[in-house]
Amino acid sequence: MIRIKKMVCVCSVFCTVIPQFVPVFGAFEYQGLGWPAATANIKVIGTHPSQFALNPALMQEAIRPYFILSYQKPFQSLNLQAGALTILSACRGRSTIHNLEYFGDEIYSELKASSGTDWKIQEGFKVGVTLNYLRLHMSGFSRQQTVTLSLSLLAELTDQFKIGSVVEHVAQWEHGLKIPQRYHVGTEYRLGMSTLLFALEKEAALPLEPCLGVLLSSQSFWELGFGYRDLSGMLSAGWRIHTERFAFYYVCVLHPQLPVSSGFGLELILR
Amino acid sequence: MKLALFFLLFIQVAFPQSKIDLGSDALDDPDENQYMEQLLTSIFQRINIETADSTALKDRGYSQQGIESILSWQNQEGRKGSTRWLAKQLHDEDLVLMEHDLTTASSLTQCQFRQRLQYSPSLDGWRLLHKGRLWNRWGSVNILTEQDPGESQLTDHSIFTLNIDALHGFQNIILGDFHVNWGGGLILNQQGSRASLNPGSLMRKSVLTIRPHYSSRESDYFHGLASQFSFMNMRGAAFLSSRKEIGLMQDGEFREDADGIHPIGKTFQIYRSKTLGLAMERYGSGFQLYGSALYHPQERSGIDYELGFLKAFNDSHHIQVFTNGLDLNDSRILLTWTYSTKPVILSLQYRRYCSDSESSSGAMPTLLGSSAKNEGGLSFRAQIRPGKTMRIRYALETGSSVKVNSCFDYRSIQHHKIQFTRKLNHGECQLDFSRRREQPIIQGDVWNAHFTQAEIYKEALSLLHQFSPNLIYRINLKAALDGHETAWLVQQRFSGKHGLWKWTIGYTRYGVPDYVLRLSIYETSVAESFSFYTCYDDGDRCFLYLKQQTQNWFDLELKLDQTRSFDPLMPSKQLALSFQMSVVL
Repeated sequence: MIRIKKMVCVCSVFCTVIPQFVPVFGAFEYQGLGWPAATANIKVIGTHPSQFALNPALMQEAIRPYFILSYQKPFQSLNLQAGALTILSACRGRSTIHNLEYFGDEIYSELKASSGTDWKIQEGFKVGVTLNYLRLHMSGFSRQQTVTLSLSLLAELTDQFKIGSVVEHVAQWEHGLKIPQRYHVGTEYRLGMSTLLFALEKEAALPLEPCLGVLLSSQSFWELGFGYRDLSGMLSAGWRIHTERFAFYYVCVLHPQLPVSSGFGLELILR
Repeated sequence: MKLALFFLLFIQVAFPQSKIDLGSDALDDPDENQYMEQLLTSIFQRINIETADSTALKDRGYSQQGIESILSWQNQEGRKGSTRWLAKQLHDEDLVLMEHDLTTASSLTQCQFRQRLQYSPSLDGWRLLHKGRLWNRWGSVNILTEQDPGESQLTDHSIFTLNIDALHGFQNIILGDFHVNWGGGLILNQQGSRASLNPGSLMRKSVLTIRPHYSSRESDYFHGLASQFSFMNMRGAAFLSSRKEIGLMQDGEFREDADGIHPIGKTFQIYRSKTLGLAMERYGSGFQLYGSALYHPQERSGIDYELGFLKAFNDSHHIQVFTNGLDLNDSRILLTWTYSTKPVILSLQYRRYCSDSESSSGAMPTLLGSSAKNEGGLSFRAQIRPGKTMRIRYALETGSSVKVNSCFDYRSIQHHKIQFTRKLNHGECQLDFSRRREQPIIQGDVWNAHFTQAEIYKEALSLLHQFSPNLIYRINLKAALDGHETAWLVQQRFSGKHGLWKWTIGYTRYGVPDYVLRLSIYETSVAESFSFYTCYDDGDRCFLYLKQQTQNWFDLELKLDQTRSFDPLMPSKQLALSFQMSVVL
C-alpha cells in the first residue's frame, strides 16, 4: 500500500490533468532527505536539528544559533528538486526552530514552513508545539494552502533511553487542502558510540510502519547512519562530517521500485 | 501617554484588591500566577474547607451545626479526620456544599497523559488512543483522540471538554462532551453500571449527575453545555446538547454505530441529535423529590418527563420510586426497596415498562433486551454474612412481556444466581452457580403446538492464593451447559511485582461451542480478557502483562496475547498486543 502511495506521490507531479484533487492525499508525502533520512527518516527522536522541526521537544536547553541548508535530488530521473532551510535559535530564553522546505518542479510544487517551540514541564519531560503552513501549487489550478498544528513530547527516562511522540496536523485550518494526520512514536537507546533508533509511524488510513535506524558516531568528527523502513521496504545510508562550526552530510535512499534518491546538506553553527 | 493613563486608571478601578499586602518577595518579583490566582479567587470565591474559619464557612452558607462539625473535623486525625466521617456529620445543604468544596480542594495543578497503541486480529489493524487531562482546583480540561482501524483520521473520535467546578452555587459547568445520569434512566439513554450481585446496585445513589465524557466510547453521550447547581434545599441540573451521531439506517430507523468503527467504503449517515434537559431535586430530612424533563424534537414531538420519590425511613430502610407517566398502560415504573444491616442486606426492585417506544440501551435495567418495547419483572438481591470470613449472595431476575399484540411478541426470562465467597488465610475462594431460563414462543412452536424453553446452567469455582506479598496465583474453573452442549474454561494467572516491574502471566484453555455460551461472560477481569476479542470454539490463550514505572511520573505497559485455535477452519495463531505510555505529573 505504501509503495502504491509513494508511486502516486511521484506521479502526482505529472498528474496536472486530474480534474479534482481535493483532498490531495498524494501531497506532502515527500519526507525529505535531511540527515535523519540516513537513519530511516526517523524524526520523532534524535539529536539532529532536522529532527527538531518535527519534534521541538527534542531541543536542548542551552541552544546555539544553527543553520542548515540542504539540497536534495529525489528520485533522480524525475527532474524533481527539493531543499530545506532550518534555523535553530533562542528567542527570549526559549528555543525555537524554523523550517522551510520545498519540493517539486515548475509544474507542481509543495512548500512547507513551520515554527516550533518547547516547554519543559518537569525534569526529563518536555512538550513541543509546531505551527505549520503548507502550500501546494499546481500549474493551471488555484493555489491551495492550510495551517496546521502539531503536538509533540519527549520523555528522557535515563541518560541512555528516551521516548518521543508526535501527532502531526492534529488541528487544521484548511483552505482547499486537507493534510493527512500522522502519528509517530519512537525510542532512542544509546550504547557507547552507537545509537539505536526505533519508531512506529502511522499516517491517517495507512497501516503502521515500523522504522529502524542505527547511528554510529565517533568522539571526533564523523557519523554513519543506516536505516530500514519496513512497509515501504526502503533502505537508507549516509555519512556526516562535523566540526565545531560546520557539518556536511550525504544521504542515499534506496526504494525498491523507484530510482535512488540522494541528498546533500551543509550546516553552519554560530557561536 | 493616553494609553498609559487609561491603563493606570483601569487598574485602580478594576483591581481594588491590589492594596493587599503581597509580601516582600512578591513585590520584588511580581508573579503572574499570583495575580491570576487573586483574580480567579475574586471571581469564584474559593474556599478551602480544611483551613477555613467560622466566618468563611458562614459566608459560604454552612449552617451553625455544620460549621461546628467542620471546625471539629479540622482538628481531628485518624478515622474522625476523614472526609467520610465528616460526610456523616453533615446533612442536606451542608452536605452538598461540603461535597462541592472537597472535590475542588486540591490546589496543585495535575496532568495526566496517555498514549495507547493496540493491535488485534479481529480489528484488522491498529487502534491509536491519546488521552490528556489537566486539572486543578478551578476545574479541568480533558482531551481525547482515537482512531480505529480503517478510519481515515487520527482524530476520528475526539473530545475537548472544559469543566469548571469552582463557581459559587454551581457544582460544575461543562462545555464539551458529557454524560447525564438522571433518575431511574426511564427517559434518558444514559451510560451507567449494570446491576450486579451487590444488593446496593439496585438503588440509585445519585439521581442528578452530569460528568465530563472522557472515554473512547462513541455513543451515549452529549455535546454542548451542562451544569449542576444547588440553592436552598434544592439541587438542579440542566444541559443543552447538539451532537453529531454517526450510524446506519436499519429497517427505516437510524441506529448509532455503537462500536465507533467507521471504516472507509461503508456509507454511514450523520444525524444531528438535539436535546434539552432540566432536572430538579428537593431534599429534606429523609426524603427526596425528583423531577426531570427532556425535549428532543428529532425523536419525539412533546416533552418527556420523569418523576421520582426517595424516602429513607431510617438508616436501614430506603425506597425509591420512578415513573415517566401517570398512565399505567403507557409508562415505565421502577420501584426499589432496600433493607441494609451489617449481617443482612436485601433489595427488591419491581419494574414495569409499558411503552410504544423501544427500551434504550442505557442504564435502565432490562432483561428482554433493548429491542423489547415492554417488559415487567422483579429483581431481588440478598447478601448475608454468616461470619467474618464468609459472604453469601443471591440474585433473582425475572422479566416477561406485559403487552402482547401477538403470540410472537411474548418472551419470559428467569435468572437465578448464587455466590459463596470465603476468605482463607492466604487467599479467597468463590463458588458461583446460576440458572437462566428463557421461554420464547416462536412460529414453529405454535404450529407444532408445544412450547420450547431454553435453559443455561453456569458454574464457576475461583481460588486465589497469595504465596507472598509479591506473588499471587489465581485459578478459575468455569462451565456452562444448555442441555445440548457444554462450554468450559480453565484460567490460570500468576501476578507479581519486583522493584519497578509488575507482571502477570496467564494461560486459558477453553471450549466454547456456541455463541450463546460465549466466553466474554466468564472473563472476570481485564487481566484475563485484556480487552481483546472474545474467544470461541476450541482453543487456548496465553498472555503476558508487563508494567514498568521507569520514573515516578512515567509508566510503560505492554500486553501481549496469543490465541490459538484448534479448529482447522480458524487461523491457528493470532497475536494481539497493546502498548501504553502514561505520564502522570
